[in-house]
Amino acid sequence: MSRSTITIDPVTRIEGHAKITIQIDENGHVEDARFHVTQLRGFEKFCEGRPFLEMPSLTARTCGICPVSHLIAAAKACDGILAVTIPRPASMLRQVLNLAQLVQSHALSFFYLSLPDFLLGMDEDPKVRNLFGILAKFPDVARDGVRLRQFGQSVIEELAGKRIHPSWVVPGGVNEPLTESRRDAILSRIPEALAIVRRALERGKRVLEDHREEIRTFANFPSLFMGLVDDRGLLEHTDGKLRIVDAHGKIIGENLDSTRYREFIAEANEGDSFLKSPYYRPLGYPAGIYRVGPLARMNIVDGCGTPLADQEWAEFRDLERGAVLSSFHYHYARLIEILYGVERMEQLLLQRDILSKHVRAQANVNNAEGIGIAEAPRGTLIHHYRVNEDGLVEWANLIIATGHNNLAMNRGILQAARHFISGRTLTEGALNRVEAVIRAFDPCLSCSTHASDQMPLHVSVVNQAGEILDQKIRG
Amino acid sequence: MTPPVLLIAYGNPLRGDDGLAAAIASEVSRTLPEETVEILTTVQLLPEHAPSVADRRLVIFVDARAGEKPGTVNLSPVSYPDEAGGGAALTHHFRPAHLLGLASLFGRVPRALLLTVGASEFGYGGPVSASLRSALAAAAGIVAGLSR
Repeated sequence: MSRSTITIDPVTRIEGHAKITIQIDENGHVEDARFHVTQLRGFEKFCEGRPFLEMPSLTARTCGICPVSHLIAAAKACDGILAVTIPRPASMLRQVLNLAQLVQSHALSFFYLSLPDFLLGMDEDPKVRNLFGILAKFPDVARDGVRLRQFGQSVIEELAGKRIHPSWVVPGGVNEPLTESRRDAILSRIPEALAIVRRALERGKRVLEDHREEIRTFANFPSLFMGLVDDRGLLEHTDGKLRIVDAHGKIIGENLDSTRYREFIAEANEGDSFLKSPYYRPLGYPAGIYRVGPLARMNIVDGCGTPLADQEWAEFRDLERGAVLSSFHYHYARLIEILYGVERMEQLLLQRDILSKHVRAQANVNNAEGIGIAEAPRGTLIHHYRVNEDGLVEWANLIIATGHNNLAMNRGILQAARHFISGRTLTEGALNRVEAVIRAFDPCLSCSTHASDQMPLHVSVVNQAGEILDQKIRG
Repeated sequence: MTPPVLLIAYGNPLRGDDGLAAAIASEVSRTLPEETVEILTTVQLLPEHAPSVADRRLVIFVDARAGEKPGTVNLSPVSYPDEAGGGAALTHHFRPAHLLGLASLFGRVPRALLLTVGASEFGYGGPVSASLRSALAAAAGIVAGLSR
């Protein structure tokens, strides 16, 4: 048998465009597997020359799913350029908005994109393995998914005026205070959201537990984990300091100064992908592999800081003695974060000064450089700008959550491919499992679509002479 | 009280004639009272619109249609599942029939119609092509007639 390549193009049920290639050796064994991001966005370059005050609105256009993350990281970088500390009510309002986005994004990832695999089966026909398959067999679950995402979106709309690409978060704070009626409208929806996520957790834990083979083989390996924590070491998505833990759960970086992120994070470029590969600089490349996002956040914190989420977190951390290493558990972590998000939103909205009119600090350019770090649904997001005296952007660097996970995603698909694929023949289930490793990370490769199993998919096993040994065509 | 008719106008106003549905919705809002028809303008259909669809007397989807002669106005019934099947795609490929399917989770599935206007200019920027003005007025008239 000659060496050959399997190509999965495109990868489905993710945000953006990517493909996977799997190299098969002469004996039919998987030799290597690579995740290639095939789109180029170029925001870092075309932001150059723009007034820095435009950066939140401009960079929010990076993504239609998580624009709020870019809004917040960009606004924080601009706060640094203004050299202001934003008013406490503005800080809390940014937190509520960020949590609302976390809830809607995680709901989409879990209910719409991943749950069909878990409830209908990894080997099920892709024509029915989707939200409408869930609608047919588990209508109560489909209803919960729609309602929960609608809740998150409605909170964004109440706060920021619209669901996608709002411009409410601005350098120095937010551009409008929260009214009592809007606050009360959000609070009135929280009990239903809380009930839904508690049902989802109850069912989710049972369903995920049934996927032992996937837990064992989906990017399950030692790595570092990184994310923000607050000053008590608890879960934090909008402010806080970076913390890094190792695979044993031991803290190796604490209170890391965001302005010095380049001392501990470096970025490698690989020739076969537009996605950069950040790594932990002290360990070098590629040994400095680390993960961010829900799984990482559950691994780095000392607790969540809300009653129900803390109970779930304690149970989650009992899965392993050190850090929880299987990336399949991103799904579980995502559900705990939704629970936290809903609880924490309520806590913040009940603060006495949440309706304060003082929501924006005003200043001119006082620093030539600003760095903003926030936790996006998929992990740590870094915006770094340099401006001239007129406030025009001269240089920008964005490190997005999905980039941090690039090394881990590549290693993860290799692990899964070696377990599920052998020889010349492909099965739909094996193919779906390799894709599902990527889906567990919920990568966000652009601002574009979620194509749920309807995008054309053509996978071929081709030998070096170009002879097709096997192929599967979907769509 | 919830208006008995829901008009869902979808398309991107920043992409030329794709803003036709929003322009039709704007015209309708000038001629019909709020208690008669609720207007929802959106860049694309989303699963989260389903609760708003359920239990209406009538839902009218309005969209600009590429591939049809510009200015051609078509009205057709919508049902779930449609000819294209139950459907799997989300967001950019989410169809009116999908929304009806999900509406069943939240109440009675309403009678639904899809009103399309043929268009050809979908480049960046606006406004809608001047040549479509008469079709726009005709479409708004049809929506108003159906809503009364």
